[in-house]
Amino acid sequence: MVGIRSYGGYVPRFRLNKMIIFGAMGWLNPANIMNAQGEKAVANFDEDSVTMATAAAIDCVTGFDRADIGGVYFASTTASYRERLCANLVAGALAADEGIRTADFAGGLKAGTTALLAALDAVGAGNANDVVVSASDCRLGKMASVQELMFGDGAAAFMVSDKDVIAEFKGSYSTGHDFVDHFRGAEAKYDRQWEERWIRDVGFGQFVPEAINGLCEKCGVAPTDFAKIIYPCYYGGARKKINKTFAFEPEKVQDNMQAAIGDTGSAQSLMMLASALEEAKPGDKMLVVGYGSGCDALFFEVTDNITRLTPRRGISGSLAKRTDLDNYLKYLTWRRMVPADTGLRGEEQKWTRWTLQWRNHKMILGMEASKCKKCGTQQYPPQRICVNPECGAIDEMEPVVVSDKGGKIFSFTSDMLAASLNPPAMYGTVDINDGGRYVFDFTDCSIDDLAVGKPVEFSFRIKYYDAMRDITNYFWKAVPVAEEAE
Amino acid sequence: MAEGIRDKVVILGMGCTRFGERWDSNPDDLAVEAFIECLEDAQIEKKDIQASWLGSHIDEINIGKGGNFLGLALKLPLIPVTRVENFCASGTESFRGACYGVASGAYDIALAFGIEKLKDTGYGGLPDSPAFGQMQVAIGPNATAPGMFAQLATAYSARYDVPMERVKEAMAHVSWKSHQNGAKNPRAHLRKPIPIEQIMGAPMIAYPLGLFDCCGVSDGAACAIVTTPEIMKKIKPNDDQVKVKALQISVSSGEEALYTDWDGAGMLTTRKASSMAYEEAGIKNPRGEISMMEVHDCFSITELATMEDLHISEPGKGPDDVLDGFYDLDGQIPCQPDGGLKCFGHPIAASGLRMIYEMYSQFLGRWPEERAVKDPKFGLTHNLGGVPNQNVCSIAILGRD
Amino acid sequence: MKYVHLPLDEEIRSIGGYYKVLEEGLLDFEGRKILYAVKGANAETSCCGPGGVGYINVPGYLTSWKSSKNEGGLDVSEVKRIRDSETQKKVRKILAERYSYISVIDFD
Repeated sequence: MVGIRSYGGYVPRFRLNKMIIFGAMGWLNPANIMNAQGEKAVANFDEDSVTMATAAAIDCVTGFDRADIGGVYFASTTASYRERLCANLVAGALAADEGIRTADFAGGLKAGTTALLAALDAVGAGNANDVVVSASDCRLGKMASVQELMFGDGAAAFMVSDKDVIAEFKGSYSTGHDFVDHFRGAEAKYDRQWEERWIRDVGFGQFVPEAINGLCEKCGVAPTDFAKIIYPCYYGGARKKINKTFAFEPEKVQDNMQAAIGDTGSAQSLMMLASALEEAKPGDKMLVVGYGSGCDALFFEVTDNITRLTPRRGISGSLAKRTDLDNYLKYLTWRRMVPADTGLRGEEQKWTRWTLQWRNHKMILGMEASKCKKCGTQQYPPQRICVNPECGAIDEMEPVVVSDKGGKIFSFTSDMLAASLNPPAMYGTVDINDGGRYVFDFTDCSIDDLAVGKPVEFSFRIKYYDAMRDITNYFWKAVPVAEEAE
Repeated sequence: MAEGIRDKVVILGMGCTRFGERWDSNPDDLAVEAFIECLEDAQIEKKDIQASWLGSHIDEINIGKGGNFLGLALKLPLIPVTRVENFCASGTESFRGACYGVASGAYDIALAFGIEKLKDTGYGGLPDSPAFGQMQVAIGPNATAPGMFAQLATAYSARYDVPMERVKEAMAHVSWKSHQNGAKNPRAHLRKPIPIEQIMGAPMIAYPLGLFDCCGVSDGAACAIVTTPEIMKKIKPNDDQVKVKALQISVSSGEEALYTDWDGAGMLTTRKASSMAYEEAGIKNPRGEISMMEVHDCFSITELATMEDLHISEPGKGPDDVLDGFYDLDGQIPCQPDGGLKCFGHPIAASGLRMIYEMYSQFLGRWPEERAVKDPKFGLTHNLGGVPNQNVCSIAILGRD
Repeated sequence: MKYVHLPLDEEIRSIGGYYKVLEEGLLDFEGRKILYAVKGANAETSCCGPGGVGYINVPGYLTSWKSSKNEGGLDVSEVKRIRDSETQKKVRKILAERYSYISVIDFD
């Protein structure tokens, strides 16, 4: 039996009320009032599709041994590189073994489901196992565009396996159509779209039913057999029509979270699937459609194993952690949509030394520390000479990954001088659980969340962006956690 | 068995430029300005100088690398010039080099120079530089010095159970006292006495450090000519001799940054270097024997913690001593009699020598009474470079028998 | 506690930069008046990089307005510090809404 063994989700904390956007740009496109309901989830200045996909992947592997990860697939149409395999960044952050398949899926919004299918095929053929598939998008629409209001940021991840499957893969049906409702050229930053009525009627209106019918015929099931029907479609009218055509019961059609998150592109169907799995019961049949340059339709059946899956944050857990972003210009600056002055100091070079990055990639991406075999002291960054002044042993270290250990705040500050795209810059000294101490930047918090002794978890974020050379590099930051009563 | 430096070297002459935004001066101009004063004070000719040590920290602008700059600017006659750099201890390091050169018997007369020309960047603050190495770009926090030192304050308050209010009060007094002193000093950059309410009303830059708790960027240069007591006796037979009693440096071991023992409330390096310095100088009771100090007040909290790290204030009692006026100009141990970094700014490699210049001038009674320390016996200078969890500390003790 | 009224819109210089008191105000809150001052700082020559902050300082509940003068001739008011963290939160929220461009609100 091959299928989904685990799932994870991530929604960035900041939520931008769409009326704030419309309030700023509605004068130029008044019709957008129709798109200005609810809020969109927006990535922080230090997040992008890679960091969000990593967060979802980490959520997905909660309760599992990372040494078992047999492949990492990353799907996005907004990756930070056209050439530098982002799946390796996600795999690095997972501290996965490097002798595995890694691949990026891109090019169309169905890339998410395509990646999932590729993993299912690989596992099904016996060529890989415990493959983590993570999809994320951080799409941009120009100011005053429909897309700006439509799009949201987020990620979802799945582990595909033949062990302890919680949703068995029963079959799929795929189409490839050069139907250009949206597109982005190789040099372009913003999405372009054609007339919405055409997108709605011909795109969603034809291709989603085509995919559903194709799947049902191939697998010998009826559309109404499904307990959960998942397909992305921004247009309420089109959804109504599709649901009516198939006589879907409304409560079985998965909410597309348009008003809470927005359309997350290649991650959309997968986020809806992750959300559905949070509530799914053994025996539920699930239909998942990915849409964009054609469709993938997938059929899963939930098993008993779902009752035994360790709890994870998922989509609902992420949605619950929120902060209002009440400043549209902050969003625009973070996404480099408006030219803000970062001063002469901001123009100073941040040199990336690729030899150094490679030599230390496990430390940087995987947060791999070292533990002294002589005295047991855990230390980060890894050391050759033990940092314990009573020990000082040389080359007696074993590697230990600490990204999932969390820590406690030893000291902290809120700094108005450190250059930051989300001032004040907050950082402090963290005592890593099980040993070690390091100074981390804090993120996704306000000064009120910081206190000596407060627990933090580590989060994979953008470390810096070199605009001159278009280099994004990543590292870990600390996020204060609210202490929950057991 | 090593004996240390005590009483082997004396200061023959010193010079110090006016510190500040020297828009009108190239580094050469600053070097010449300090050198002219120094040479005249030493009563020797340039050709008598046999070796020189040159301290400078910033490479990105300023004077470049190596020792060439000094040879060219001062037209030194093909003598050795060794550039030294150790963060904010660079000035003291150059003094140390010159002293060891003389004490070893290799040279009779040596020159120590510290110079920093920082105001050509076009933006405020120190020039951006990978001061802690390339790895910082990949994994270092987006931190500034005030943010790192600010953590000293919160750790200190927690460690000794001193309410933050009182720590802030003590920090304000530290600044106030320095500004009172600097107002009287023609070489200082900022020469205004600042009322305490202006200090306390200042906005927070990095909690709990406010605007007046932070020092500033400046241009400046200072230098010293050193020799043996015997040679000085021949050149300036009637002058009091200011003797070098101790020179110590301590560099972080990694335990503050990476291990979990350190309490974050003070500098391990200062504690170690000062103990070693007192032993070298034969001082048994620092609180009773030190007459005056210049310490590294890059931030008020540094000065506060340093009073305890120097084993002069009892642990946890620094704020009490500060608020009692113990370190005021008319207190038992005047600290920053010239106004300190708060009034001079911090041209990094020049500061250590500026501090020694102040001690030296006080010993020789060269200042008007309004800023003179009465009858000093031992003077201590302290520099701290880096950040609280990884730093270098230098201590120099001078004395007049 | 005493609060010294610094002159408005005058540059107060330190070695690292300068600040100004831009505005002083009284907030009506639960039947009492809370004194606050809006300040701006420009740390243009500080060792640590240029930067600045828009800042509100809240000395506390006003008990007497400009009731005396200090040695320098400046007005001095009497205030009572706000210690309760719930009250601080509420006041912070009101001031943050009123002065949305201010990033730091601090209580004495």
